[in-house]
Amino acid sequence: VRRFVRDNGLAIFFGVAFLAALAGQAIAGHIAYNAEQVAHGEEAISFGRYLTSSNFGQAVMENWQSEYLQFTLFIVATVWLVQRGSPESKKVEEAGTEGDRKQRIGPWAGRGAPKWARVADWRTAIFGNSLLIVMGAIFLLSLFAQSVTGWNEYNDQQIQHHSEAVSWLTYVGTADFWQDALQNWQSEFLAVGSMVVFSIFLRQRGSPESKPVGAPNGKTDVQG
Amino acid sequence: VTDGARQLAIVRAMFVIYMGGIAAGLAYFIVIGLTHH
Repeated sequence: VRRFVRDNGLAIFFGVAFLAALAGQAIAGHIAYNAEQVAHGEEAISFGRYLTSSNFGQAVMENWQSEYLQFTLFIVATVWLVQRGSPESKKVEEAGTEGDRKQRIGPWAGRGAPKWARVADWRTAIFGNSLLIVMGAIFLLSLFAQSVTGWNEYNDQQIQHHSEAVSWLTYVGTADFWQDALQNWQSEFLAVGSMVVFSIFLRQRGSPESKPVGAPNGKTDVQG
Repeated sequence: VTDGARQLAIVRAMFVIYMGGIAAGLAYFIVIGLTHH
């Protein structure tokens, strides 16, 4: 068990932290939602009902989509764009999808290479982009989930204010929807950009996200 | 079963847990949204 925990520390730590934060969000969200209900002279709802509400769904999905957009863009941008001096970037002259030999595809696949890297047909093309495909799909699905839960919330507000309910398509064209999306995106883009730039001159001893402490500032593509 | 194979099975299980959990979460909230909860 100790070895299992040591070998999988990152996945376990972030998985547990995710579940704890989600539980905290649900508890705080339920309290806040009911306070709002009572303030408007409406009935409080049970915790179980809150967990199946669009209010909770929108709050969760809004943040999921922006995180997955961030990683999806980072994965694809770092193929083509480089940053001199950053350990998050590859070498300046290596921009692009690189040759089959360097990527160890087909005849250059070594012992232990995944089968889909060795076959050198359409499967290799899919496998060669599978991280981007999956992260991008999660982004699109969570953006869709945000849009349908946000749509319900929006229409609830409309009805409370004696206005007409709108269609889903109308909702995704509202400033309301785009404010929710963009307020998350801006912070993700800033965080990624600053990580790329700060890591040129700043270090974290022992982290693979950083260069070794003694690595020159001008050196690109070195990990600690 | 070799040690390497066991380690690989464990990380594969981790992959399935993450992937399955995310898929379930997405499906859950899409259903909630589409059924007007």
